[in-house]
Amino acid sequence: MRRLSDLIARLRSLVFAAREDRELAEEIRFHIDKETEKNLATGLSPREARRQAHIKFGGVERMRERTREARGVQVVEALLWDIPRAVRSLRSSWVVSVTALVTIALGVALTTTTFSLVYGLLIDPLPYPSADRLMGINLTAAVGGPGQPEFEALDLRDFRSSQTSFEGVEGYFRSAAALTDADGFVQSVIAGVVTAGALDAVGVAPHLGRTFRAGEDFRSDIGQVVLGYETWIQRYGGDPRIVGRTVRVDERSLEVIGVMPPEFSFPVAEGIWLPMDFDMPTTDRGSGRSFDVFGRLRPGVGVAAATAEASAIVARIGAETGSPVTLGARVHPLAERHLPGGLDSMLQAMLAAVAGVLLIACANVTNLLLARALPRGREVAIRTALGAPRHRIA
Amino acid sequence: MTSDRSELLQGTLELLVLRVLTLEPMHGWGIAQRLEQMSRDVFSVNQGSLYPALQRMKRKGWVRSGWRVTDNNRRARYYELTRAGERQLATERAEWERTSAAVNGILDWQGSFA
Repeated sequence: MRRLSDLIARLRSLVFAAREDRELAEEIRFHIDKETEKNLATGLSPREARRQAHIKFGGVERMRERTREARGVQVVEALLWDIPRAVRSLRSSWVVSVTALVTIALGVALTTTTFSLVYGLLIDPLPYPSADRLMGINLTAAVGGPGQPEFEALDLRDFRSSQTSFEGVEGYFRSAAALTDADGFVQSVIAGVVTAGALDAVGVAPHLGRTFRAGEDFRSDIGQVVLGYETWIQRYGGDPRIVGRTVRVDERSLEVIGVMPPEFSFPVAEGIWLPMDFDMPTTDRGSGRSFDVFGRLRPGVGVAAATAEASAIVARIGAETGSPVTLGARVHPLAERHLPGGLDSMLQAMLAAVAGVLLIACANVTNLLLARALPRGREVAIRTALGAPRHRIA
Repeated sequence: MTSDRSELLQGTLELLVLRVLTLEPMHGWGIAQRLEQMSRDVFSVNQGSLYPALQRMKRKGWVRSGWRVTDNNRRARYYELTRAGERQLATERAEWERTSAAVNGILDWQGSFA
């Protein structure tokens, strides 16, 4: 109840500010007059009587100011007073105002745009949990070898059995598939073909159902598919009982085991995910399907250590399987796999340059404001002498 | 002379004004006179500080004000105690007696420490 009456009192002070000032002035006049009369009755001259009355009262202006403060509306009143003056002052020298505005706008716009680029491409490009721990593992070959070596199923199996740096090593490649939707129309979609643990390694939980389990890869009899969210909505009408139903993909009937969340893609823009359903080859290397490999670093393991271990393992596998050249491995952040080389240093240079532009813009505007403030020296001095606090002078 | 007069804290001033207003509604100058008389001239400095105090008390709902005509046919703003103000007076009075008893207790301490 007190709060409400306080608020009402403040609002009234705000609305009737002029009237309250007048009434206070009258009230104080009455007070001083009465005190003067009292002093006259004790025999003082009229001038002395009034003077003594003022002394006993204290500074009239100061008391008026303190009473105004006690009304509790200083902040709002100060704003109402200052904003029109600020607008007027901006308009009166509008060339300076516009220049300052455009300068700052340019500086901020450039910096923000560049930083968004850097952030999106370098700092946080992958929308998966702890994406900085996801590493691409690439094979390298000493000069003179038969082109870029790539992982195949047998290589992956051997690598996995020896490695300790990663929580999981998985593979993927992109393909296309013919999807028959609920109305019978056949359309081509991009399919991510993955090893069983790949979607789990990425770390995003499915929206419905589940992803592939251990063992659901490298066999030709896995008739399963994971749908993307948009595919589920657009091609199957968001059927809530889609999990467990069969759909036709590439002339085969596959069981839908899960649906991924909205806007999820791995690596890019897939509509569905299929398991690697070719049998693990028994002997031949160099003729099977190859794919990209990635892994999630174990906590506490650094890239250098992982690279060293991976290179050693790969070199050994290469030697054991009769590779003509020495193989090595390169472990790098997965986010970089699809970026052109040298991009990050270029972007960083851009960011530094644009930050410099912003600094220069700020310096320019500071100069402009300084030039505008110089003629106001007298005004500031007078207002300070009258007792204005610092925050009201600016 | 100001050396004879004592300083008044803001909270104490409000307590005293509440007390004065229990006698009858009064304007600002009248309150100042009463304070002088009732304190036997101890409190009479800076009469102007009454007005910020009255403003605060108005905001808190302890007093209400209205313009009236005095005996001499002049307009003055009279202040009147509200019910909330009466309650506040009782509260602050109790608090004051507690505090001053404690201060006196320390100043007049004659006993020993346990």
